[in-house]
Amino acid sequence: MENKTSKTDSRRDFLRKLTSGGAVAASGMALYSLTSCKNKSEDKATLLTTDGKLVQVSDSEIQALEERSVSPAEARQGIPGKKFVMVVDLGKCKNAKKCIEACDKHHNLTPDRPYIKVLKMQDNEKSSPYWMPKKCFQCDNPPCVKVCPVGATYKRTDGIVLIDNERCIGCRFCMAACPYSARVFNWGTPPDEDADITYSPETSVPSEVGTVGKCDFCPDMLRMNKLPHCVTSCPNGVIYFGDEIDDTVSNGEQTVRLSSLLKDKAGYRYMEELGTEPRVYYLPPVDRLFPFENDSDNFEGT
Amino acid sequence: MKDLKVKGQQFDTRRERDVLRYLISNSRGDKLWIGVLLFFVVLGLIGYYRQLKFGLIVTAMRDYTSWGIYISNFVFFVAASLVGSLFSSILRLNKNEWARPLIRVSEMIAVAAIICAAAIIIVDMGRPDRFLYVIKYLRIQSPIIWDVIIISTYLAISLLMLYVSVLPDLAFCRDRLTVIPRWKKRFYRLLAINWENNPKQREILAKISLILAVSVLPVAFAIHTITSWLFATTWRPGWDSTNLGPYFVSGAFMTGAAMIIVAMFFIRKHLNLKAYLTDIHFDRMGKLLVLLSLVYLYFNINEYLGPSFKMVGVEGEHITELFVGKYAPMYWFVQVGGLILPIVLLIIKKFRKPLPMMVISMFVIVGAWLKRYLIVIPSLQHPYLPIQGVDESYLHYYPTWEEWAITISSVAWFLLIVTVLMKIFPVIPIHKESTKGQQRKNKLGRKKNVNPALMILCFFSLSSIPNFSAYGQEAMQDAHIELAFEEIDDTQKIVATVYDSVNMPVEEVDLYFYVKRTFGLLPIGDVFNTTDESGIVEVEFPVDLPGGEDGQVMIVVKLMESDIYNDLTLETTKNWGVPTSLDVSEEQRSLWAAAANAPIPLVIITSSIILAMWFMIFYIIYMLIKISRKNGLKIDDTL
Repeated sequence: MENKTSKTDSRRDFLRKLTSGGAVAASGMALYSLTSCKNKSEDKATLLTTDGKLVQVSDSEIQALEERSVSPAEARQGIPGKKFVMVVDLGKCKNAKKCIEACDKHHNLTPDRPYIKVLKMQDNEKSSPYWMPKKCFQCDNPPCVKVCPVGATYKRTDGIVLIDNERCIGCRFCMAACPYSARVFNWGTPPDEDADITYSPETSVPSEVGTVGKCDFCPDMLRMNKLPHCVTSCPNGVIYFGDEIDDTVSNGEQTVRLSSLLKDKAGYRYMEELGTEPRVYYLPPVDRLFPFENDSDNFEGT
Repeated sequence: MKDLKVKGQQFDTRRERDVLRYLISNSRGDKLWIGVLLFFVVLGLIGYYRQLKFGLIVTAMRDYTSWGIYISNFVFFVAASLVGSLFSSILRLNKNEWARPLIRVSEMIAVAAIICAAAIIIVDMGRPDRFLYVIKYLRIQSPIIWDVIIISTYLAISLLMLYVSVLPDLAFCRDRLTVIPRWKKRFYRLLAINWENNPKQREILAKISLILAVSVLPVAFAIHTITSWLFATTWRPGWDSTNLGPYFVSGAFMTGAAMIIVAMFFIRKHLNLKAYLTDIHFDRMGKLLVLLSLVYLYFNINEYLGPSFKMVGVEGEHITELFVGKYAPMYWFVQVGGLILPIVLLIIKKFRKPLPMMVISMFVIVGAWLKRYLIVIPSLQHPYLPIQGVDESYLHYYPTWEEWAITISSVAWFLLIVTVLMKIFPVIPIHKESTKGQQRKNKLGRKKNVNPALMILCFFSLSSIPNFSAYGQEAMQDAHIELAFEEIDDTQKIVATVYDSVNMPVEEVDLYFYVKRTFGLLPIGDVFNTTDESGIVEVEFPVDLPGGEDGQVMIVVKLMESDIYNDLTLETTKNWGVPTSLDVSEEQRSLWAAAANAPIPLVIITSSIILAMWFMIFYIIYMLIKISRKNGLKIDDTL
């Protein structure tokens, strides 16, 4: 368990370096100095701003950015110029549940009410079953947002649907309205309620009793140009995440064109007919990486 | 005239005595009844205290079955509240004279039911402390808001209807009741607002009660239709139906009529009003219940026939569970015992007698409550995606004692409110003629320009950086890359030339080309881009790749994993991408927008309805104030 954590951490660290503009080149091993024509000093990183300019930011500033939690009012503004999108390759999932573990850990969730579920699906009796990781679909026509009486759940310009649990009145209409059962409720006092963390809808921690929670696409990570926890924790690169405006998605190791991925692999959205316009795409469970194995602890409901 | 005296109170007529006797009496039966009700109220309060302390975890509700008996009970009470409009409006405007003695009971039931419905919805909230957020952060797009608005409107109208109807009797109680405690006298004096029963006052009262009778009808239909929309606006099986509005409304009228019958039975018995609530009333109510049940049966058939014929996906599963699955006993009890059987029995004249009708009506009421259970709970247990990977307790729903205690106490509250209203207001009008004046007045009806071949040469001079390697890799050399960018017609090419430290072109070196994206580097070119004998490698840039505002993209060229040369990265920005406008324009008006961006038609429709209804309510209050001003009536003759 310890090993796994440090592994993911170093990968994330690598990714951060990879993404922090000029400072690329080296892997996390520091065998070579981080070199770049743009790099003037070792403790600075070159970042590409959203308007295409390169700015140099010291590592300490990046660190400060990581620490800062966005206030509920600020969290209503999406990250400018972004439209986040996810692609889940069903041909690669073997129900390793690492995404669930990472998500539960970062959102302080108990195993009985995870934000992510890996569902055993079988489209018909003759077709083979497959695993379907399911998060919040972050719909562009979100039924949950439509029904919220107080605007506690809202759609941002970057496509993410968030919940402000300081405003949620606990009516659970959004849970009834969501056709994908993406939402969970804090029926009792959540384990981390007394934790000394400043609440932010972008981190969804701490949870609050009597309010709704769900997958949030980890906007706190996205603000740092880092991939959500489920994406980086997946051992099989099942989940691709990216910016639709960039037309690029990445699973942490592989970065591909979104449009060509969806075209080539016949990407679809779950229950397109509902008109909810999800921001999560699926790639059909063909050319499987693993044979389907049913494990006992993923029991089936009715 | 001895028999006109009760507990030292002298009455003029038998009707006065019979109607007012209950207001001054304080029998042991009454005390016991109120005591029992208070017991259940307290039990409910204990349950609610626990719920407030521990949260909704004390209920059996979990994700999936996220609404339980609170919501079904809420729908039940909303249904019950419709009865007020049935009698005060429909039967009255149709001049069904026989129903007149039932108007006040129906209005009392309506008031009590709507108060209980409003309270039960607060009980269902995860954060009742944030109730006022509904006003503070109001989003007109939400059907819950529509429901909150219509419930408060209906509550106001119901209270006014009851008040307007009892006003003359309040004055009578003020003037004539002598044996009542002082607070009660003051109470009547306050509420009777100087009613002197003069013609002017009667005329105003007749006018406003007619306005109320007409306006309550759309509000009553709206209240239950909007409640049905809380379900119909979702995709749940059994809820995703266009039939839901009329289905709910017709079911409500049936429930309401059954409630009136039960109320009649007990009032008549306990209040000794046999002379006023006669067998004829029961007979007529029986026929009315048959009619209303038939209408409900029709909508029931409509609700189930389509889905059960098609058996589509989860909708089919839902139907199966209701018809032959785990909810089948309840379902068939409701359909047969609470609907078909009452219709069949009540057609027979023999059963349209007080006691059998009371029993049949109780079946209808229990059936109606269970029907709401069947509408709310099984639907939630059939989501589109299978229920997996959750705790066992999420699969079923068996209400906890706290839920039952609260639900039973809501019924106790309801009965308590009705009892108290009957204790302070005469359940049937004291004077027959006091309503006649209104009758006569019942006449009111309602891309990139490709430049010529252009060669841009970029030379990246690389300072050779000392190698800090502790492992000593002297064998490794530094290399540098020259990048050239070519634009020929529609194609854009990156030409890279690799030189070693003595400026000789390097052959057989793999270069990697990327475009920087938000979450990583998007590879471009072939899988292997190997330099030729002159150290050159060419990579075509994708034509349609989105860039920044001016189409700028950051091109990253890397030399990696070479056995001879150190890793090297070059970055340069080109405007070769397709410009994307960072149009973070304002949010569009939509149903999922923030409160301030609600669709204009919705805002206009809702606000005009609210304005119209509340204008009417305030107009009636104004008229009542006019009634209360003795002198004002004489001076202001124009109104």
